[in-house]
Amino acid sequence: MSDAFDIAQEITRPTEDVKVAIDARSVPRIADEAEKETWSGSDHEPTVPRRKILAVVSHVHADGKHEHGCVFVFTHKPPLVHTIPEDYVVEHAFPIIHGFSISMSQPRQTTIDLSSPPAGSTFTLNQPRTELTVTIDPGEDTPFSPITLQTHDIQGLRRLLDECKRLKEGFATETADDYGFEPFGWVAPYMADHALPPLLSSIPPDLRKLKKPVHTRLSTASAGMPGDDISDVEIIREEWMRRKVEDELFARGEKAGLKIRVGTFNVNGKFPSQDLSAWVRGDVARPPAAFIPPLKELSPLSLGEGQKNPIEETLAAEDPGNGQPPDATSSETRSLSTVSDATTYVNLSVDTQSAETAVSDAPPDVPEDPSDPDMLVLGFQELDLSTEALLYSTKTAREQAWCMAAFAGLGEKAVLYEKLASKQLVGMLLVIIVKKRLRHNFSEIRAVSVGVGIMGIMGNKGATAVRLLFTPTPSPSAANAEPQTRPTALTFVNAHLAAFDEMYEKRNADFQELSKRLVFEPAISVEDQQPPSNGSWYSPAAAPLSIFESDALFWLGDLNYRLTLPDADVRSLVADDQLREVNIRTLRRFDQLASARRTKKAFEDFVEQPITHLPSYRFSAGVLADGMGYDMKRKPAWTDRILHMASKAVTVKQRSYASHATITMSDHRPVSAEFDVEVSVVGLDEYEAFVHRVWRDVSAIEYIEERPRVRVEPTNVDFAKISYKREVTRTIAVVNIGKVPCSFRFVPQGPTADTCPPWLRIHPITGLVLPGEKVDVTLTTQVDEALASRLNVGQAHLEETLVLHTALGRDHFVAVSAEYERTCFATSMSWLVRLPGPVRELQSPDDVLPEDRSVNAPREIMRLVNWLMSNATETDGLFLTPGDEELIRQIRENLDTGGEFDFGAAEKESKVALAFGDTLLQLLDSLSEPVIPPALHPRCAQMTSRDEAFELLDDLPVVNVNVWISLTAFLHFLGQQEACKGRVEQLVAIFTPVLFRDDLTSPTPVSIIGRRNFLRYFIG
Amino acid sequence: MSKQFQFKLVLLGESAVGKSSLVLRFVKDQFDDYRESTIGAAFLTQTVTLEDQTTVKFEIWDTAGQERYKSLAPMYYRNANCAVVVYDITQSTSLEKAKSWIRELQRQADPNIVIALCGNKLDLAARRQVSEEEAKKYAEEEGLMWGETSAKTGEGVSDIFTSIAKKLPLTAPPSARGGARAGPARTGVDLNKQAVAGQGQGEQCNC
Repeated sequence: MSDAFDIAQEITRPTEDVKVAIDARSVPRIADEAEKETWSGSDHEPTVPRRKILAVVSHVHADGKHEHGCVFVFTHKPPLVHTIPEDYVVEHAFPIIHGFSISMSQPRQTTIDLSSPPAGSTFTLNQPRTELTVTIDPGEDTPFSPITLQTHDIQGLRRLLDECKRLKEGFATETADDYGFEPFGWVAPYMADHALPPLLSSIPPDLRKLKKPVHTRLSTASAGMPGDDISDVEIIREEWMRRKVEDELFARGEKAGLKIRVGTFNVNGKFPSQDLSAWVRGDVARPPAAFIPPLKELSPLSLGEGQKNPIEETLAAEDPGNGQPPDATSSETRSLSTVSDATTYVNLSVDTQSAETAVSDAPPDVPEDPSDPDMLVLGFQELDLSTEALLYSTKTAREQAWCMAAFAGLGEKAVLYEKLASKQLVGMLLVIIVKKRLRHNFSEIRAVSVGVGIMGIMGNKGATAVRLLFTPTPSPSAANAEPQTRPTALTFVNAHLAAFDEMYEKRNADFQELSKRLVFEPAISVEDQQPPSNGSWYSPAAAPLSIFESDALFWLGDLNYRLTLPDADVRSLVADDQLREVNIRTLRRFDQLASARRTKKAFEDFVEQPITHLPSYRFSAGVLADGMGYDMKRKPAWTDRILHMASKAVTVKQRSYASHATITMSDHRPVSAEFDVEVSVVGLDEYEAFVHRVWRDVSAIEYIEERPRVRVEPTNVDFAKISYKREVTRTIAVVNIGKVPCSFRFVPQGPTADTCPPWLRIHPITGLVLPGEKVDVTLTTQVDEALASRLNVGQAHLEETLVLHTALGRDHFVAVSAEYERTCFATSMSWLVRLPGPVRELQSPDDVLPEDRSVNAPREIMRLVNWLMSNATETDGLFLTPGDEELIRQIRENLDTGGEFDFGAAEKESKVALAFGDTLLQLLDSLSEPVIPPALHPRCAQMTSRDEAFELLDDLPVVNVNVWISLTAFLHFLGQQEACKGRVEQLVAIFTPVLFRDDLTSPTPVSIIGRRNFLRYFIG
Repeated sequence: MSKQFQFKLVLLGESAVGKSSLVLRFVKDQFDDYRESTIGAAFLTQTVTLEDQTTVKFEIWDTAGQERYKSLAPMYYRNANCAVVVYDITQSTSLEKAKSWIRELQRQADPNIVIALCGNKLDLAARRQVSEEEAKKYAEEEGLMWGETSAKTGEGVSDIFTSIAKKLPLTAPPSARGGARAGPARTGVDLNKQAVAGQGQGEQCNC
């Protein structure tokens, strides 16, 4: 039996604090009533008192001042077969308000249950002598009735009562004017009616949850040992409904597009002094220059980090325009609004008025281009570097100046736009600008800011965020009318994370902290509150929302992630414009953010389009800079980033990701990304009707007595031959031959086994099939590098039994078998040289030659080089242009079988040569250890002459030496051919990461430039 | 003061004439009755010390004789300072193959390359098909060094490499740093001037 406190903590959200939790149970006499209320319709009415947990939970509002408490009663789920013991739901939640009271008493009959202990209940083991009765009176103003429970935990109960007293006293000191929010909105998510179909909530599910495969969220189960079928059914059913909505409702319906341009700019405390059009409009007509000096001379006082310019400050206070052309924006200033720091929500009706006035007064005759963004989301950091900014509420002068500069950057298009919302925290500012004609498509705007800087709370670092609903076709009549189509929740986070190279872990921690603490408090006005009635008392609109409870989430800002390569490497890699593309690709592998994502330390579920632009940091005027203009004191880095994640309800396509070198006023360059967001236009009525219709068939399946029955066919699947990187698909049908809907899942054969052998993919791995219907489950073989390296040295015959478990039904078995075809890919060179012949002819892994009889070099590599020497030395673009996948597959097959390369007349075509080149690169890259073992990389990078480099070969295994010598001799030969004149550097850049593949877990990578030099000693 | 020079040496010749065995004897003084065919090429190094204490380090590129790797040869003999072309004295066809390699080297390789023709398997002289005279005459005509060896007994092996070392231009200009071209490892003027390339070619070596 788990501790009551742990269970309570498990059930409550991370934004809440469990103060006290004790074991309790219903009083038998009145329990029946209570149970009926909650579990009406269930045939499994309990006959024994059920274990409950009584807990005081408090929630501290984001303002850090207001704490509100609530007494929760968690109750055990209906005792059905297989239900795991620690499965609790919220039964009651009583806000600790004025009328609330809780009292205890000692009943006369203390031995009531000892006479008839409920069989099998672990609770009776702890049966105490003294039972205390707890009575909770929610108060007259609430829709709830008093309840009575029993407990034996006297100590715990005392603490619980004390805590209630404290929270009630705290509440009594407050008045409604103290806060502009619903004090108990945070309770709403716990009170969702369990009888309602899922997917009807207006709160989108947590994006992180959606990114996890369904089967990973199910209970632990294996063949013959079902897990918690009831909760599994709920999860599988919800997923099934979600897919049904996506496939049958969203996919068919009309689509609406929303073009969002997102920008991030660390302005280093400066006021705008340059045209921002390249950033806000993405002016591509202007050729980007590598480095353009600032337009105006900077005051010496503004140089250096963290210094404010008092002159600029004063000027700005007097003239917020600060040199910006006022004509384009004058009409806009009226509609500019700030979400004040005191409240997290702004009612924008006033803005709307003025915006409408502006439109009707001067109807814009500026034509719209399809390329104009519908929405501009601009994130600024270091808006104000003054120390006062940390301590006092921020002046709006800087916000206005930057907004005006943004509108000015829009040029003649500015009149089409208006500011919708903004949120500032010290130096961080997030501004949302939308097309005026779309103003009414946005609603329920919420904003929040969180500081994670000094002492973990200051706003020198942190984030500001805005969440809003986008409704494709709002009611044309009034701005405040209910939207008719289903809205899409969009969230934007502008963050500034911890600085400095070595603060990598702190940045990751900042991300985690912000993910947790960025919670949008509800948007309410107290007068509008509906009269309380059980069920609707807590409307979803009153619930605090996580940033992840969105359909699409965009995270932008100065995330401060750096590059781990040595400083000289980074500078030299970015400086070489001949090798720009390959060098940027190289740099991306040493990006701390990429590493954080790979190791799941931060941003793991986000998507970031691969960067192709130069690092946006750091350019300081007046200090020593390298040839590219980068500050010599700071290693260049991609600090400024834009990432996103989205549910399947929306389609997000990224159109661009760029930095803007022409805007030089700050030490960072602004970065922008353009997204095409596509949402389905589905009427709310239509949506709800569809969900209800789908729900009708599957709502109560876990309570139906009738057992589900399915037939699985075939029950024997033979894949025959399966091989590396070649997928083979077979289908099995799950046919429902029973009378009730059946949810199924594949489970492992045993508690420690995997559900599915590593060489197979099952899709879907969970599902639901209606009576009389059939679901096709595809089984696809997949052998990737990691798996091939294991299978190559194992037995070729593979067989496994898949177990398909039907919830509340029986297990079905599907036998799968395959013959693995070995490959020379994804092996080690030391193993390849022990092959007596082609790898495919190896019957058993024991048939390899003894080590002392191994050959001098792998045939497969030498065959490729030999072919390339015969046919490809004049091929344009060899190793630079990717090869055709089908040709590569053929070549791979010939290498594995030992068959002759036979491409007939096509042999001399360059596409064949390119495929051979690509195959060689892929083969080398797939080796379990690179040609130069990572342990030698540091020494290689230090070699200063050809002779030293040759000496170092003595420390390599013989096989590696022979491969190295032949490959470099080939590349040297190639570099002297006409077709490759001047390509030596490209060859060096391409082969270095392959021959010296990195150990990506190493925190301090070896200089890339040093490794390239080493290779150059052999092929230059 | 001793000087060290470094030279790239390539072995060419028909399959199974004993190139790898010759190198194994020279580098490790071993012999192996059973050897897998060379794949592509094997790379080894060995240093020879001459009477005047000059040391010559050979970077040896032992190439595959099999036809299927023939295309690789140019990348191995490119920039080689010397070549040992091996034939099997018990197989007359192997001399024909050696001649064709020599023609290719004369056409494609560095014009200053020092070439030695080497008849291997002297231990099997009873089954000889190629006479000393025939091979020697051909070598003289082409201006090559010539000798016979037995990798199995070791006879003549170190002599042929030492002779090559003596014939190499030990005054060659310092190699361009970073290039694959071999040359003296240390710069400086060599006062003990040795024979330069081209001189003394056609002489029989001391075996």
